[in-house]
This record gives sequence, structure tokens and C-alpha cells, in this order.
Amino acid sequence: MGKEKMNFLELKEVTKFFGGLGALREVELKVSPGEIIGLIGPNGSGKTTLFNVITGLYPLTRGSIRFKEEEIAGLKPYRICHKGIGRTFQITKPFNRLTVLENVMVGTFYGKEKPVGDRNQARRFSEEVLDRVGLGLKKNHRVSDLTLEDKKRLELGKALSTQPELLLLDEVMAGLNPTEIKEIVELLRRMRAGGVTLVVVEHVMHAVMNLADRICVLHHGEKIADGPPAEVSKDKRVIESYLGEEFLLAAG
Amino acid sequence: MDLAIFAQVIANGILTGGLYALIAVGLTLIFGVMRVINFVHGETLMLGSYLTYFLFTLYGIDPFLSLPLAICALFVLGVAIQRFFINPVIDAPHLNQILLTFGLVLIIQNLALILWSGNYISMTTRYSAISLKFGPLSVGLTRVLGLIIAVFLTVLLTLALKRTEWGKAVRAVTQDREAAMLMGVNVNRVNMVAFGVGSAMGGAGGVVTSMIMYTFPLVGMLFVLKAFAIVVLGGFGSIAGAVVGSLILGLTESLVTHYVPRGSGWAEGVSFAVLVLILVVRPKGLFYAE
Amino acid sequence: MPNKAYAKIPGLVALLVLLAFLPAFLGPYSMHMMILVLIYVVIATSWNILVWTHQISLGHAAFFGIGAYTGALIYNAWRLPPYLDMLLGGIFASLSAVVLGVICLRMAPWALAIATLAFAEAMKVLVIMLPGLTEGAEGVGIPPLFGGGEAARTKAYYLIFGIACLSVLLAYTLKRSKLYYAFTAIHDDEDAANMLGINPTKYKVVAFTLSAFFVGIVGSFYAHYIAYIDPHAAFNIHISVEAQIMPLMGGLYTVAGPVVGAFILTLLGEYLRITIKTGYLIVYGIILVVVIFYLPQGLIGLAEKWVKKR
Repeated sequence: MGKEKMNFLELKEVTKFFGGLGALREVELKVSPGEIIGLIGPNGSGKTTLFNVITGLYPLTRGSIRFKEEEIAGLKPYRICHKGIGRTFQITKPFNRLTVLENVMVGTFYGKEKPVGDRNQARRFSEEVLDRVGLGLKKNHRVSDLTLEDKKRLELGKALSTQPELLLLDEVMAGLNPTEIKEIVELLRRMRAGGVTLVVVEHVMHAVMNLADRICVLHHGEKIADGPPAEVSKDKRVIESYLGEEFLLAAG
Repeated sequence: MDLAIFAQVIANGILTGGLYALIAVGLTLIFGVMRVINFVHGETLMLGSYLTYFLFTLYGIDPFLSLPLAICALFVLGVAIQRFFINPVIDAPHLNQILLTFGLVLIIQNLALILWSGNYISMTTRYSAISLKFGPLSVGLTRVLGLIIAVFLTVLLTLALKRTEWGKAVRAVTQDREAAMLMGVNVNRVNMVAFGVGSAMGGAGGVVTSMIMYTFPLVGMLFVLKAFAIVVLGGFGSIAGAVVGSLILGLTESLVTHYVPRGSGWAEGVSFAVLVLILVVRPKGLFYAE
Repeated sequence: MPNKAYAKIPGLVALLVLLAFLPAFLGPYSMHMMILVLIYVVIATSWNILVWTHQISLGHAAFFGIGAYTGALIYNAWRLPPYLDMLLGGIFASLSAVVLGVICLRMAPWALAIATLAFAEAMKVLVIMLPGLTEGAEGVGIPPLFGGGEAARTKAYYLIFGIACLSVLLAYTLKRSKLYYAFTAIHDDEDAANMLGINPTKYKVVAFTLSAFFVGIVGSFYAHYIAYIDPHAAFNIHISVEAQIMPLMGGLYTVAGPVVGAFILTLLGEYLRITIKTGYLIVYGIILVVVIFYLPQGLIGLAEKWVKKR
């Protein structure tokens, strides 16, 4: 892990206020390439807001976000996409009037600064992406025909179609049964092996604790812990912040 | 610059602004709660106008007294329209909503055209011609009455929004509909009542316009565009914004009419110019809280 | 987007042949009606393009009028060849679409809807208030297209036929292009599209501009054909309303829908105008409401359902 790439993604004093409401307060984060970071915290702690701020959906109130040594705070989402950051949404956002394959082709075409010209090439690439996320057989299905797990896979497929270097995943396992969760975890490991850095927001504790190299914990918009899963799960502040919520902090 | 004339121009602007406010406030309420483009609002004005006219010419009822009648009638109509036409499409694409209300507008307008003909009609009451004089200023009594009505109803609505259960529900839904639903607010009822109240205020606007200008089937169109410009200007759901926006528009029109050569023709385009200006500078309106 | 072209081609060819030979059978009044039908085919088809990005224009007459006035005024001043004149009408309309679009398309669909409505009205005011430039409310007269008379009418018919075919071809090509992916993505979920690298404003402006181009051209054509244009005819809300109802009735996300709608409603409108006279627009209102409630896919959608059932 070369020191030059240490600051793959760097958040400094990231603060976001909605009117008087502080959703994020001076959040600091450093991500190295190839890491899987788990981002956890009680509901309303600001995880999705953090994603929205990194991807440009919300403007920052204060702070700096640097990706590959370049300041990206203030850029529009599509530019951030072109620079190599992708994300999935907590509530999946498929394009309902397109088929599964067409959904992925959107990102394939437009994911980079210069839209891909060759249709056949784009189609082949999109089919590969679908195979990778396990939707190869359903490529001509309508979105309405998909199960929840399939929709999550499609969400991943869409994000991958833009060939991101950094992928932000927002509760991609929510609503899935244990088998499905296992499959997604495997998929995410394969993605990391393929060179994608992941930041994963999750409530499914055992999955994220197993998967992540490092866990960051948000609480009321502040980062209260940042370290290996074993350490974090024993952190007093973390345990307190989850008091009253039904979570099992499984170590290792 | 003649100060007396300037004062008169300002006075006219405020009076016009007051009338616009009456219409815009109802519209912004509806939009804030339902996020629906309600073109039918203009027709509530038209219907209020005709109602006043008929009550006056057929039964000799003074427009002032028609006001509560018009308010009730348009409230009921508004609730009915919301329940039967708007509610079914409330989650449909914006497209469908816009075209639907447009279709309703065509139906109502042309019904009026068929039933009552396109003739411009006006009423003259005993006090239509009276002008009040305040020093060098001269303002029509009916216009001042219109302003008083506008102020009264707007204040009433503001109080209702602050003090009543319904008002609190409205404010919750306007800010965040999902959150309001999770908190147990009966959004359906809020929608219906809001649409009714908004339409009632439009109807009240119609009562006032019948007193100060002609009534005809397309009179609603005259005001609805301006009302929309004001709502965009002031921010959706913001009563204060609608009031301020109305005054800005009224004053600008008055100033343009008087001080720009051939201004009365240009004044019609003012609302568009203002609309564009605001959209360029602050796309979410003046009072939109993030 | 399934490709049913194979089934449609014989029907299409038959239609084109029929239209091409129509002048041989029809008298002047019917020819005039067909010219109006084709004008509306262009307007409806063009308006529909914008819908593909989930935006609607309630004042499309603005582009018609801009094209008409540009055509008439430039022709009177410089006597350019009519074809060039019409092209200029289209270009001016597109330019105004770019400007309006950049301002208004950054926001929710309602913003454009209201802005276009206001724009059409504002253009009318502008034209009336600048008689030095536009002859104001009196209108502008220009020499009739191709010299006037019945032979000219037939030539005008073929010209508008050609323009209509081009505009439908544009829509058809667009629907099968990469751009349509961007349009549909923006239509279905703008934030998701943004996150996939699509600049929503840019593509909405593109759609808007394309939807204005041919409308400007037929505006100019109309001015030449009628040999006269005035602000009320040019910026008439009626044109805007028809522009919406025709595609809605025919089927918003199809290429054939606006064409079908244009044929039916132009002829229906004329019939109503003659029989009911006042307030005949009420029928349009009823059609709008009925279609939204019961026929969201339009007539083409209905036809497709019947075909599937067989």
C-alpha cells in the first residue's frame, strides 16, 4: 500500500447543516485504495447524508472532500461520477421504463466524461456487469418483475457500470434474508478483489463486521469511533450509542 | 418628481398587491401541502365572481354579504375537486397532474362560456363609484374594501396555521410529507381541507374582483399566471412569501404602468420578467428554507 | 424498447402513399384541413420529445409564434427563399428554447410548465407592444407562399408533408438513439441519472431545443401559407393546448401517438368548432381528464394491448 495513494478519499471537517439542524459535524475520514470501510451508526446519525454530501447531491456547509488528491466538494453528482465515485441508494432507484440490461447500459454509456460511442461494445460490457452481479439471466426482464434482492443487485450493477474506483453502498443488504446477505457479501469481496474500494453503510452488523477492514461509527453527525471491527465493537461510546437499539456487535 | 403622484402610484400598487395576495395565498397553501400545480385555482376566482354577480343581480344581495357564501361554496367545491379529481393522481407523475388540472380548467371555463356567454359583465352597487380621499390620494372604496378583505382573510389563515391542529398538520406536511405521515398525520384530510381553504380564498378573490372590474369566463386566467409567478417568487407554502411577492408584483406593475411610456401594455409582461429574474437568481423562491 | 417496426412497416407505407396522392382527390377546403393536420403532426410530435425527459411545455405556441414572426418579418425585409426563411424560423425558436431552458430546466417540471405558459403570454405582449418592429396587434402580411391559388396550395401541401415526415423521422431516430437512454433515465429518476454521469440540465435543454425546432419551422410555414400573421393567432393558447392533448391521447412515449392524435383531434376540432361554436374546448377538457384517468397509455397503448390479447 503505497504512501502516495494514502489519501484516496479524504474528508476534513465535513459539516452539513440543514437550517439549524446539524446533520454532520466535522467528520474526518481517510480511505486507502482497496479498503472496505464499514460505516455504521444509529438511525439519523448522518450516514446517508454523508454519502449525499460526498456524491454532490447536497452541498457542504463547511469542510473539504478530496478524492485522489483533488477537491471534489461542490461538484455536481455527474462530475463526481466521471471522476470515479459511484454509489447505490438505500431505496433502490431503478429506471422503471427500461429493462435490466438497459438500466446498466445507461451507466455504461454516460459514466465517463466522454459517452461511450459503440453500442455493441457497451452492450457487451453491460452484460458482463450483469453476470458479475448475478443478473445475467434476467437481462431482458422488466424492473417490475424483479425481487428485492434482484433490485439490489441491479442497483449494484448500475453503480458498477460507470467503472468506479470508489463505491459507496447504502444499506445494500437491508431487507434481505441470510442466504441473500451471504451472496451479497461474497459479491462485495469479489468487487474489492477486482480493484474497487468500498465504503459500506449497513445495519446488518455481523455482515459488515465480517466484511470490513475498518469500521467508522457515526452518532448525531459526529464520528465517535474509527478502527478495526474488534476494537470498535468493544468501544464504550459505540455500545452506549446503540443502547436501546437491537444490535448485536459481533466481534470478528 | 411629483410626490403626490408617486404616493398614488404606490397606493395603487398596494391595493393591487393586496388583491393578488388573496389569490396567491390560497395557491401557495395548496402547493405547499400537495405539491400539485393547481391551475383550477384561477377558476375558483371566476366562479366566486359569477356567484357574487348572480346573487347581486338576481337577489339584490350585496357583494360584501356574498363573501361568506362564496367562501363556503368554493370550499365545498374545492374539497370535491380534490377528492374526486386531484387525489387519484396525487402520486402520479407531475405530467399527469398538470395536464389533469389543465383539463379541468378547460371544462370549467368553457362550461361558464356556454352557460353565461363570453360577455363582460359588471355590477354597480350604491357604493361602486365612491372614492376615498386621504390628502392628495384618491382610492376607490371598493378597492380599499378588497384590501381589507384580503388582509382579514390572510391574517385569519395565518392564525389558523399557527393555532389549530389542522394548521400544525399543514405545516408538518408542507415541510416533509413522509415524516408527517410517519407521525400519524391524516394527510388525506389535510389535503382536502387545504384544497378547500385555498379554493375558498380564490373564491373570495373573485368576490373582490367582481366589485372592482369586469367578470367574464376567462377572468381566472388573467390572475392565475400572476399567482403562480408570486408563488414561485415567494416560495411554496410560504404565506409570508406570497404576501411579499404579491406586493412586489403589484407595486412593480403600478410603477411600470405609470412611469414607463405606454406602460399599461408592458405591465402585463412584468410578472413574467419578475418570474424569470427570480428563477435565475434564486431557483427555489425567495423564502424557501432549505 | 422492443422493436415492432416489422409489423408497422406495411401500414406506414400505405399511409405515406395515401398521403402522397391525396391532392388528387381532395377539394380546396379538405386540402386546407390536411395541411392543418400535418402542421399539428409536427407540433404534437415535437412537443412529445420534451415529455421523454419528464418535462412539459404549456406554452409551445411561443415557438410557433416566434417562428411565424421571424419568418414573416425577415421575408418582408430581405425576401429570402421561403425554405431558408422557414429554417430561420426554426433556428430562432431553438435559440429561445436554449435560453429559456437553461434558466428553467434546472428546477422541477412545474417550473418549466409555468415558465413556458408565461413565456407564450409574454411573447404576445412583446409583439403587441413593439409595433415599430412587428406591426403590433395589426399583424404582418406577406406575399402568399408559391404565389397563392390552388396550384400553390398543392405545393404547400407537399412542402408540409415533407416537413412532417422529417419531424417524425427525427422523433423516430431519437427514440432509437443513445440520447433516449439519457432522456429516459432523467425521466424515471433524475438523481439516479445524475449519479451515473448524466448532466440532467444539459440533456433536458437538448430535448427542449429539439422540441422547439420544427415547431418554429411550421410557424414560419403557417405565416407564409396564410400570408398573414398576428399576435393572437401566433401565440394562441389553443395551439399550446392541442400540442399537449394530441400526444397524450395518442400515446406519450410513442412516435405514432402524436401523429394519430394530430389526425383525430385536428379533424374533431374543426368539426366541433363548426357545430358547437362557443365553448367547444370543453370537449378537449373532457378528453384530457378521461385520458388521464382511463387511458394513460393513449390510443396506441390501447391498440397494443388489443394486439397482445390476440
